[in-house]
Amino acid sequence: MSDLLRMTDLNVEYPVGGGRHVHAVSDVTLAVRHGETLGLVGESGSGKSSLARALLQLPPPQRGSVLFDGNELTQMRGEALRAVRPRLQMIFQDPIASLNPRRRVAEIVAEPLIVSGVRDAAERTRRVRAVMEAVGLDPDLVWTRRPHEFSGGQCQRIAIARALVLEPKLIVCDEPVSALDVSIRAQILNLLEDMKARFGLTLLFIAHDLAVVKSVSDRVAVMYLGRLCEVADSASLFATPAHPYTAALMAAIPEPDPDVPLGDTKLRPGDPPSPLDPPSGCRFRTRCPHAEARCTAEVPPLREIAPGREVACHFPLMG
Amino acid sequence: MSDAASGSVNGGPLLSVRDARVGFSTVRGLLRAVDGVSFDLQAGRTLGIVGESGSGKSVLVRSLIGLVGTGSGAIVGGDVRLDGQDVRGLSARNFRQLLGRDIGIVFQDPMTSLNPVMKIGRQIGEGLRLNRGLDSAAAARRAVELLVEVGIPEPERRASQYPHELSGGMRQRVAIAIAIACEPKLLIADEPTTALDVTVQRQILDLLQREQRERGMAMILITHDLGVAAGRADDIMVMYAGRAVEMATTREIFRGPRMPYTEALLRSLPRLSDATHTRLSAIPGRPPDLARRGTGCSFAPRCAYRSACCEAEEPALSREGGRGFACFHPLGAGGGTSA
Amino acid sequence: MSASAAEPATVARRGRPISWALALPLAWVALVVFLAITADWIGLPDPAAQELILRRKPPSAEYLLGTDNLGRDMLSRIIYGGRTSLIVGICAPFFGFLIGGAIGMSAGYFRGKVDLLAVGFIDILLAFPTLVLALTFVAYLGQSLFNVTLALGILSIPAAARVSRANTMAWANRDFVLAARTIGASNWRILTREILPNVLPAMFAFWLVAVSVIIVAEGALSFLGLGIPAPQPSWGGMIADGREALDVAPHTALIPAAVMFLTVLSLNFLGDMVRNLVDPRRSTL
Repeated sequence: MSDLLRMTDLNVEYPVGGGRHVHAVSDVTLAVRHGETLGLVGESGSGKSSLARALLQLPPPQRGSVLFDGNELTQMRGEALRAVRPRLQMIFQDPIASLNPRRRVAEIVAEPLIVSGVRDAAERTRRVRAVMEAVGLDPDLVWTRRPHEFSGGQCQRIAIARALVLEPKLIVCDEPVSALDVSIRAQILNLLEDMKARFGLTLLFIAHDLAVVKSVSDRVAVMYLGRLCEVADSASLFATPAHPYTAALMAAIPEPDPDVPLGDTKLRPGDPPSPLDPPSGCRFRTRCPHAEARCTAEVPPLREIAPGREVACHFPLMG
Repeated sequence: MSDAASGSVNGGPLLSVRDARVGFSTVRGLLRAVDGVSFDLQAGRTLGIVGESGSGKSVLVRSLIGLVGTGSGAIVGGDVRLDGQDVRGLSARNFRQLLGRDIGIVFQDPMTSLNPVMKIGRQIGEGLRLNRGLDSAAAARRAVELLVEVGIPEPERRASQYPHELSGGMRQRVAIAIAIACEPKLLIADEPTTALDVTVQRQILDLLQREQRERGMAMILITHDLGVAAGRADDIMVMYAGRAVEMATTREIFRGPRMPYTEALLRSLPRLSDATHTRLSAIPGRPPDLARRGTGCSFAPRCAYRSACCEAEEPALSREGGRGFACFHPLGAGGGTSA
Repeated sequence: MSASAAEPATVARRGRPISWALALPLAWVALVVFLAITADWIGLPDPAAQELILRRKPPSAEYLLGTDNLGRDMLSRIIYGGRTSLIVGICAPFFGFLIGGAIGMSAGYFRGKVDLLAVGFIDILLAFPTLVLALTFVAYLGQSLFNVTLALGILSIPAAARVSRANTMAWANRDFVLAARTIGASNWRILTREILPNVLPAMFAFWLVAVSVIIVAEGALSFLGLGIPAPQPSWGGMIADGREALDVAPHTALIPAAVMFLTVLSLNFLGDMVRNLVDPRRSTL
């Protein structure tokens, strides 16, 4: 399988005054293959959202390359970049905030078509109706309504319709179900899977909820404080995590089953460090139960320890 | 095994709620946020109140402790007794004393539940000065002790810091310290870890549980996360559209739910134990508009087992052993016919 | 789900009846506007026609609001004066908000150097004592309706810029703006189609307040003799004229003052109403 999107040595930093910087993403090299769903997992401060925005060049990363569908996005500006955008879309965490409260649903979903130059109004109407039906909205019922008249789940459907109307190749999903009610999450996750199958999409699925990520992803990448910890196919990662952070993350999640005992995260006590001043060497070392001197001195590179499995750790749990 | 749904044999429940109601008058009509909820809570036990947005779980608990003001057009009803004493009938002053001494509350967002312009130590000590009569010096000392107890390193230094200098997890620890400072009988935690990372969440929940056990407090844990409820609650009350639709011990809820809503909710969760790409069993439709309550069971439009009687009449909460459920077609033994 | 039949009687009303707090100010403003527009057609006596014999007469059947110092009909002068006040009061802030709004939105959206420049410019404008600047302007360029409107319009630029800047910054951070960028919308399109519709309600509410402020400002200018030149009537000018006769014919000063007071009060109430409608839902500013 070839890569649809490949990021190399991606770095994203934000100045926060006083000459200091937040190192949101540091030296991330990762590829998304055609037709797969790549899950990206991390807690707050992991840099996953910054990474998503940097991929879309909003704003462009400080360093690194983003090769999408044969185009080097970091070198592109203006019209050239706009021409590529229809192929790379995004859906956001807060569905209601991701829709303009003053515009009608039909206009919101049609906007991408207008911007990318579809002049024929009848054509636009046809495509908007088609995509609304695909996501499970009744066009006649929602056409003239405004976002505040809808629930979170329906707003997310509208946002998905907007992302689909340009027939993209890759959709970056930034925590698409975190803000939704538990009973609605399954609907939207199923919808995303259906849309992916129907339109031949590739998905980059970002979430902090491991169970959600596992249920939709083919491969999973784990991030901590701006760096990649581990990349593996879904089944292997969850069966035998190689990075101590992945193991801790899995142990920390409360399973909805009272008979499953609470796992031992084995984390050293203390709060996660701040992205303003990340630890030297391996950024996880301040909480890692296996940390040694080498972890302070040397940044562990992301290396392959088994076919299809990469880990950035000096003392991985396997391999 | 004492049960959650009725008074136990050894001296009565710590908290007893009967027919709690909260309504808001809005432009669209009367919004019944809480529609007749009753439960008991024994000392030392944790009641998990589980529900989604609009279920009324937060409004219920806030109305119990008087945080739902009548200024916003709220109509509050029902009977609430703490340790046998009628809470609703108290004068405002006595109620404040009760709240300060016997009830501790931890809110969801530590950013907004702490005063941003008051030092940490002073916030913890405030309750002690007001309710336990300690002087400033004693309160300050006790505040530092509490910071140690909730696991904050360098407590003296932290005590003279402001909330924005602490991380989210630490702020929540401070909120817990404030809640337990006056040694309350009842601890209420309203989504205490929802705003936190999962690794920090584990630590905070461990802390809450430990404090509860050491002090013998009763705890109400409000959450939408069934995993959290499974691991931390002794008994669970499931709320939907303002009513309690199922009440049982945690094991009973997860092993054999009687309410179709509970079962559907459990089935729709993605689990780590599932294989990847397992198709999730979604509940169709969405939670009802509380201002437009029809007749009949509020879950009926989404229920796979509904029948004509479900739409005509609202099922009352029936009791069976120690459990309660509100359904005409309860699942499991003695019920559960598919539509 | 159909509404239940057994709703208790204490249910809130459906829809909102117009409250007195809204109806009275609205009626007054509507009256002033109506009279200002139809002044030429309702058979008013010439506001400039002097009848010195009939000067300072109190209200009577023939002269409904009495006559002023020079025997001119007060009612007619009030109504034509209202026209002046409204023209200045509406056009000046409109002009100011157009320019100030554009400056503020650019500053709030593009940030960086654009923001620095805009804020600097606003601060400079604000540093001048408002009325002194208007006085200087009018004294230098000459008194006319246009110049007074221009001067007061320029003075309303900073307030408009601040309001639009703050609102723009709040909206520009929302995800739907980011979503518009992901589909490749140009900055112009984002500003006009995504941000402007959301900023407009707050701007409109503020504009209503600005109208009342400008009416008072114009009144002050006229009072000081640097507003609209005679014989065109203006409320401020009428108050100035009536100052001399306060002990013998107080109505010549008090009536225009009362009318101005009621108009400004009504506009303030209306501005508050509009702000209440807009703010709780949008929660900006």
